[in-house]
Amino acid sequence: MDQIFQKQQKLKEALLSLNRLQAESISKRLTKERDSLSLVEEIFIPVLEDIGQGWEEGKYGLSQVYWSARFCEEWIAQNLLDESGTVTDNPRMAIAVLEDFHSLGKTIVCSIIRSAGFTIEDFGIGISASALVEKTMEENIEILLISTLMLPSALSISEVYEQFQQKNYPVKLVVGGAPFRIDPDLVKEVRADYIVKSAADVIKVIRSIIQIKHSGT
Amino acid sequence: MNSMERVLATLSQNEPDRVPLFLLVSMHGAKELGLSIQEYFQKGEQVADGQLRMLKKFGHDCLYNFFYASLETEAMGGQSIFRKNGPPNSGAPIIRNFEDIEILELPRPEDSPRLLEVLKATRLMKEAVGDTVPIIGVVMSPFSLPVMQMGFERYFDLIFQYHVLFQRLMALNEEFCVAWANAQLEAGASAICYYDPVASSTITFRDDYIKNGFDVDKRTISRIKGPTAIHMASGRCLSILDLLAQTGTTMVGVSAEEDLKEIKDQSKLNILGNLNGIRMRNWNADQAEANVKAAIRAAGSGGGFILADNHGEIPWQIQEETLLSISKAVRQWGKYPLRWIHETTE
Ligand code: B12
Repeated sequence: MDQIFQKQQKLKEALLSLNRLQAESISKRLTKERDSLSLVEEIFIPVLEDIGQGWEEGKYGLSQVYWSARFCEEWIAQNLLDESGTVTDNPRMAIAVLEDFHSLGKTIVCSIIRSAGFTIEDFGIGISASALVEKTMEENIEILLISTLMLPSALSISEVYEQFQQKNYPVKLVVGGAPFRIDPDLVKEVRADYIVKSAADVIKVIRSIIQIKHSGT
Repeated sequence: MNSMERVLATLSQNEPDRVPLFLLVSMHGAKELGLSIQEYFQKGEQVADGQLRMLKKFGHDCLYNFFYASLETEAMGGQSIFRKNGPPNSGAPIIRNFEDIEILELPRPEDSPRLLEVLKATRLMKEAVGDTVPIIGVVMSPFSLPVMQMGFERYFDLIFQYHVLFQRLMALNEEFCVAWANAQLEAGASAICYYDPVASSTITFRDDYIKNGFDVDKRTISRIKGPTAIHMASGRCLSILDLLAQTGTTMVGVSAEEDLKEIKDQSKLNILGNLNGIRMRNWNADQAEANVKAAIRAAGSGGGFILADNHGEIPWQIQEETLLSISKAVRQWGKYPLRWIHETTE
């Protein structure tokens, strides 16, 4: 356990200092030592969650969250691709930026999800409520992640919810972005299922949705 | 005391007759004039008219010449994407590749028809109120502007991987920012609100701010020929308060996400804030009053405090009644000396 902790710390330090060479050499060493699954589960994900949590607490900057998530996503794609894309229970997921044109939140969330070995479709930015609903249904999406930065866009999630209700389409709505951090009550107002305050918490939410699905509740 | 005297007293860390209130309303002026947000911001005279009407209606202590953030990138050849129920967003970035920075040239503010509308609004407001009400001008800091010039992801890559080009962009933005701030001061603005949320620890880690943004802010603020308030646009700043105080600014605009009392205790700077503008849309009169009281209790004593929202722009969704309740509560609870804060502990 202690040993794993030390390894996590080393990778975390390299990521926080945006040191690509060091992060690569640590990751390479770790790949030789363990299989892809435990590397992702025991090292990459906890480290990303820890950095995300640190951001939430004001200990680290968003540039570090962004850089770490991008590094892990790229590294896994280049080095562990075959095995890491093998999450056996990968719900059909998509992410979009509703009405806004700011992609940073979405980019970070996507990288973290992909670093955990899930696949997720990217519906892009600046999409309207009705186009988003249509696309979600076309692609049979089970979990829809929505990022917004502006308050009116966050409020438009209500419209997305209502359209799904009208069409009787069962989908889990996971939402995030600055307005939700600043006013967590907003999630009730827009009737989303889950709010995620820091991108790194998204894995826990996805897993709990999967678990609930399996337990049939 | 008029608004100007009230504000000047508090800025010199004295207690005026009451806590000054800056209701930083921008888009609401369109409601006053029965125009869409997009129409309203086309003409400086409309903005001046809207501001003067709101000053009368809400009885607060400033006029605000802010149109919207992406006006600056519009002046640089970019576009704004308008919506009916909120501020516009910046459109496609004007810097598409890192190499673009090598040949980038930024306009002089006086050559931009859009920025001239802001100067016109400022002049008209100044004509109307003279020196009785402070007129707040606005600039985006050179360090925060690139998010709109090139997108956030690419900007992070620029800062951390292309240092020479980053420095060049900062130099260009500094010139633009200084010229734009000084043009507003010349047109009649009393002070400049210098928006720098990328410096906030919501975005940038303290050490990285020291490495990349701090000197830019120091250099720029020192060349602005009037008082400035460095505003975090609701980003956090407790961990960099000491640095912000060294930029030469007189005031800091702070977030509802941080403890106002802790900021007041730690800061040498005057404080502007920190009502939560997003939560405000559901406040009834009692909640407005309670929030005003809490802020005054935390930061009012001894002056050095202007009550405002925490972002520097009241969202379109906030009802007029809520703004009136805030204004009323400041009149009731903001009168100096603030004896009540020692009497009750709610
Ligand atoms: C830095 C900043 C700026 C900068 C850069 C903004 C940008 N990205 O383009 C500048 C100075 C340019 C700026 C300008 C404006 N801003 Co601004 N800005 C901010 C600030 C401080 C941070 C925003 C940011 O980019 N964060 C980075 C992103 C990635 O963080 P995030 O959205 O929180 O995402 C994290 C998590 O929430 C999560 N997440 C995000 N989405 C999702 C989705 C899912 C599914 C999950 C699981 C997780 C998740 O992942 C991320 C990492 O953990 C916020 C206030 C704040 N305290 O956050 C205001 C804020 C976003 N700004 C706001 C506004 C209004 C504006 C302007 C429209 C002002 C104007 N009138 O012009 C302009 C628009 C500019 C533009 N680009 O078009 C408002 C928006 C809300 C509202 N009132 O409508 C905010 C919230 C301020 C406030 N308190 O009201 N701003």
